[in-house]
Amino acid sequence: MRQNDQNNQSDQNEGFSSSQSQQALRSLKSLSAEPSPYLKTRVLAHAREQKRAKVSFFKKYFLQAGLATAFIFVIAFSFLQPKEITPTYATGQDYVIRMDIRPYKDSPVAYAEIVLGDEKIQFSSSRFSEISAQKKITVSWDNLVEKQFLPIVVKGLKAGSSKVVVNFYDANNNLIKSQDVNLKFKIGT
Amino acid sequence: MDTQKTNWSEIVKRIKSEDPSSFSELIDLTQKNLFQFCLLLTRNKQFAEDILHDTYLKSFSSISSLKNPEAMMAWLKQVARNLYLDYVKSAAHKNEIHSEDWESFDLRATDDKTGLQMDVLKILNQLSEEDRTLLILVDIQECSYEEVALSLKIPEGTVKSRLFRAREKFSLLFDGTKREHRSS
Repeated sequence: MRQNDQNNQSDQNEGFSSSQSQQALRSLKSLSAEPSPYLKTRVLAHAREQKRAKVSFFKKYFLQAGLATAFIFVIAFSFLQPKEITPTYATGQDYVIRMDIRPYKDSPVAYAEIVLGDEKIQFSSSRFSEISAQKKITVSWDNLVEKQFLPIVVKGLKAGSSKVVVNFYDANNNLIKSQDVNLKFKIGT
Repeated sequence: MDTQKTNWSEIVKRIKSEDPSSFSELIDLTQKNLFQFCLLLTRNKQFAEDILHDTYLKSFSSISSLKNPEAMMAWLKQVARNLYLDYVKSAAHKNEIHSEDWESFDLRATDDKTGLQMDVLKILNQLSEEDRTLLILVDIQECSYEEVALSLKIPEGTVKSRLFRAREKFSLLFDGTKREHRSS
């Protein structure tokens, strides 16, 4: 039914083509109306302007994105990097570890216990050679109270990682704080 | 404009690659026909130029949405009409009205033909935007039903049925105008 209506309308549309009404409408086909001669110039100028704006937007966007990425990389690297880089020392040589003890000045420290982590390391002293046989020494805080650093002289015996642990105790032998110093030895001079 | 020889695919390809000469070529090929469409739609030369200007800028930036390059003219008219409708809608909100400017049509002569043209323009002005657009596209610009369907984004069958009604309304008004002329 609808198709019939459409066909009917289509036929009637065809009938319209010869009517005076359509000829009247067709008369407008010859209307002489021209756009401004500057329209094209104006459109092309605006198109160029739009392109420039688009390019500068992308430049700005990528610059900002680049900076943001660089910032994220810096932050990421700062997290990824080890907090403490373990230094490498040659075996057979004496090294002085200067442990900063200023943070403990206001703590009720009575003594510090210096413990060697394993057999790859030993204490070293030219004045007290017997110390090299010990794995643990205790230093009274009275001897350190005037000092800023606790000097620990060690010698590596074998290649590999090792550590020195310093425990700070109060007068009742309660552990106040423990601090590790990591060391890495390699065979060499 | 010789549409038979226009290689729209090539022009569209160049527009997509932002070749500046393609923009210029597109304007040269289409501006006369498109301006007539805009002018008949808006009935105001300045308004028609604004719509035409924005149509080209819009078409350059959204050329990728044109699926069939051969339908370029229909697509440009679709863009122009949408811009016109948007503008009319926003102008209505702002209480702005573009007055009809009959001088835009260069109808200064007073012979029978220009008298007829003036009558037709005035009758078109009394029709709805949809009826007016259909008559402009089919009966004045002689677009095919297929092109009109593309421009108005409606099926061809709907174009025919709406066109039938639009023509009826036009004929009725046209006959009334003729009667008025005879009686005066």
